[in-house]
Amino acid sequence: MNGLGAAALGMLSAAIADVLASRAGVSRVAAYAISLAIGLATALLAAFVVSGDISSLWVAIISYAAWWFIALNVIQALQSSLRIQILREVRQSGGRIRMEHLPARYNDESLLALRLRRLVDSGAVAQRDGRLYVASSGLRCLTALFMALKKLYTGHASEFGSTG
Amino acid sequence: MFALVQLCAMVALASQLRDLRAEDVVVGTIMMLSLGAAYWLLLLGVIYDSPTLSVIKTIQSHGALGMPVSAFDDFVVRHPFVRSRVDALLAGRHLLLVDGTLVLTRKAAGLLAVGDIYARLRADHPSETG
Repeated sequence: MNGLGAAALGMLSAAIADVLASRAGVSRVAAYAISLAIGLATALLAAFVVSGDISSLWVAIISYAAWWFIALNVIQALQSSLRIQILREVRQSGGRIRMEHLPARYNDESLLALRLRRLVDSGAVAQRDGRLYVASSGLRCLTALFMALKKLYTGHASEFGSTG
Repeated sequence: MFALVQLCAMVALASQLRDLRAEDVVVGTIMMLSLGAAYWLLLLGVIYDSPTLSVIKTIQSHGALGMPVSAFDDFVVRHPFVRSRVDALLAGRHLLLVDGTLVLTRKAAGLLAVGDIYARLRADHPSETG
C-alpha cells in the first residue's frame, strides 16, 4: 500500500509540475518531460522514505508509470483530440448543430491541412518543387511502429481500409 | 479479448487469495487495473488513425520521388476523419442524432468542462489545439 501512496504523491507532484511549467511558458513536450521526471523522483523518494523495501519501490514505479501514461493520454485527448474538437464545435453552436452544417465549421480538409502545415513548419516534412518529403527520421520510425502494431492488431494498415 | 485477459488475471489473483494478505490483493488489483487501462489507451491509439501519422504515412508511400502537393486533395477524400469520429461519438453517446441534428449530451458537456478547467490551470493558448 505504501508503494501506491508514493505513486499517488508522485502523480500530484507531476500535475503541479505540469501546470507550473506550462504557465512559465515552457513548450508542451518539455512540460510533460518535467512533469514525468519530478513525479517519478517524488514517488521514488516517498516510497524510500516511508518503507524503504524493494517491493514498495517497484509498486511505486509501475503504478506511477501507468497512471502518468493514463493522465498524459487523457490530458492530450482533452486538449487536441479530433473528438473533443468536434464536441467543442457543437458546444459553440449552442449544444446542437445540423449534421450538414458541421463541415462548414470543422472538416477533413482544414484539419489535415493544419497538420501538414505544422509538419512543414516544424521541419518534419520538407516541401520542394511542388513535392512533399518526410524529413524526420524519428517520425518515420514512429509511423512504421504504429503501422506494424495496427497490422498486428487489426490486420489493416488504416482504419479507412486499404485506401489508407 | 482484452476483457478476457483482465478476467484471467483476476482469476489468477483470486486463486492465490489464501497465500496473500488483504493489502496485497488490493495493491495487485489496483496495479492490474491501472496497467489494463494504460494498455487500453495505447490500443485506442493504434486502432484509430492519427491524422498526423496518416499524413506522414501517405507522403512516405510515395518513396524517394516525394508526394506531389496536388495529391493532397485525394488524400483528404480517402481519409474521412470527421465522419469516423462523429460516428464514434454517437456510439459512445457523447452526441445524439435527433432529426438530423447533433446534440451534445450532458456526459460530453462534463468532459469538456473538465478539459476547460485543466486548460485554464495551465494557461493554454487556444491556438495550441485543433
